[in-house]
Amino acid sequence: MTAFDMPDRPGPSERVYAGLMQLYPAAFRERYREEMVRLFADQLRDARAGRGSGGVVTTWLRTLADLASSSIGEHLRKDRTVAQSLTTFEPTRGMRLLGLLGIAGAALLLWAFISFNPFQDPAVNRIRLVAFGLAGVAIVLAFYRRQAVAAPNLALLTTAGVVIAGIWYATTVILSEGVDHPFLGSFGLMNMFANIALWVTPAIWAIGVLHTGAAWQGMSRNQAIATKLGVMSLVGSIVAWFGDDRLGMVDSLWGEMWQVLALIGVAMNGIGWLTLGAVLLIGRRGPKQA
Amino acid sequence: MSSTGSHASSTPPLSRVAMYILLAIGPEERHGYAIMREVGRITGGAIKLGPGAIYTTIKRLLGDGLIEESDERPDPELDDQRRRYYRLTALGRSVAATEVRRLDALVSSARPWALSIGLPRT
Repeated sequence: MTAFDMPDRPGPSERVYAGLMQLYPAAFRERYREEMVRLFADQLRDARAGRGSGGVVTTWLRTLADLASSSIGEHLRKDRTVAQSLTTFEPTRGMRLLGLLGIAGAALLLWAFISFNPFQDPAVNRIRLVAFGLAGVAIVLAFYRRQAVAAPNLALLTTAGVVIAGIWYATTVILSEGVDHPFLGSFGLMNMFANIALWVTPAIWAIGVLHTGAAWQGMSRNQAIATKLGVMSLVGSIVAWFGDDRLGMVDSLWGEMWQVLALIGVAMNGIGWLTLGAVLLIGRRGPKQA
Repeated sequence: MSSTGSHASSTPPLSRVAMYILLAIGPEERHGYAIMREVGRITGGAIKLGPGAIYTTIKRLLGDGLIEESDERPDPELDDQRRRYYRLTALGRSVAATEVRRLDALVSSARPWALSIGLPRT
């Protein structure tokens, strides 16, 4: 057997890795499964022979991280090409739809904010809460491709944070309604941490967007300004966390001020998603850069 | 300039992984494992690409027409016949060259600053 050969019968590790390839889109899996398993087998062989840059465990850990990031990325950008253009901003139909969902969720948040919650029917109010919980999810998914071009790992990490927080929040709103339980109830721990995550993760995402600067590349001047303002508004929305603190820590730190900060933070969150949603929805081809 | 060259010069910067893979393939025909090894070699071991990163990028490079699959197979005594080999297309060579020029210009403009703050000369 030459150094490049692979035995016809794969070992347990290769079989596990082949099974994990279910995480990739079917078409991708169909085309590349054999080659990827072969490459993984090569890496394991190097690791066992001491030729790689780590042992079998290190190889496995590195491969799992690679699997997680590339499989999610492949689902999110399966039609994307390498020459992903940042030189023009031309939202796809999917991006516009996500922008619209973001606008709807943020508008519901701001409407209740301005009108002091006109949604008296609990069932309608739940729909509102779920909608604005998912508004951020829609917006960050719409911006993911542009972010990923500039900083794939940062984009994945910060986008996943908002997605998890938004879905988690929406789920707890639905499941905890009317439940009186210290962990799962309306005022339980799950709900409390979902609230915190709802305000904190968008701020982290927004800091990442400001860091890479990819979000407004190729946009017209006005689009770019609107995007920057929307992103900065989301950074400021972290102060809404103070309004959701139910441990008493904030109260002791800030006294009466926390209520004001909470309201400002909630408004900034809504304005941020609303602005970014509008940019996506009405986005036009920007000027080409040299 | 040829139409291929003109097309290449108008493309936006490549992602880092795509650039590593194009440069790793270079003038050769390479399969996934050879690409992985070559990327490790040309980056001094700093970059270790996994199967997922390599093949999701290969898929997009194929879609963009920057690489193509080679029909030729090496001697079975030397390599596994079941491997797929990839090589740069004319457009891929042109894009890779454009990318190298971009990087070269970037490094040239940054070098005086880097030296001024005491980074070691190479």
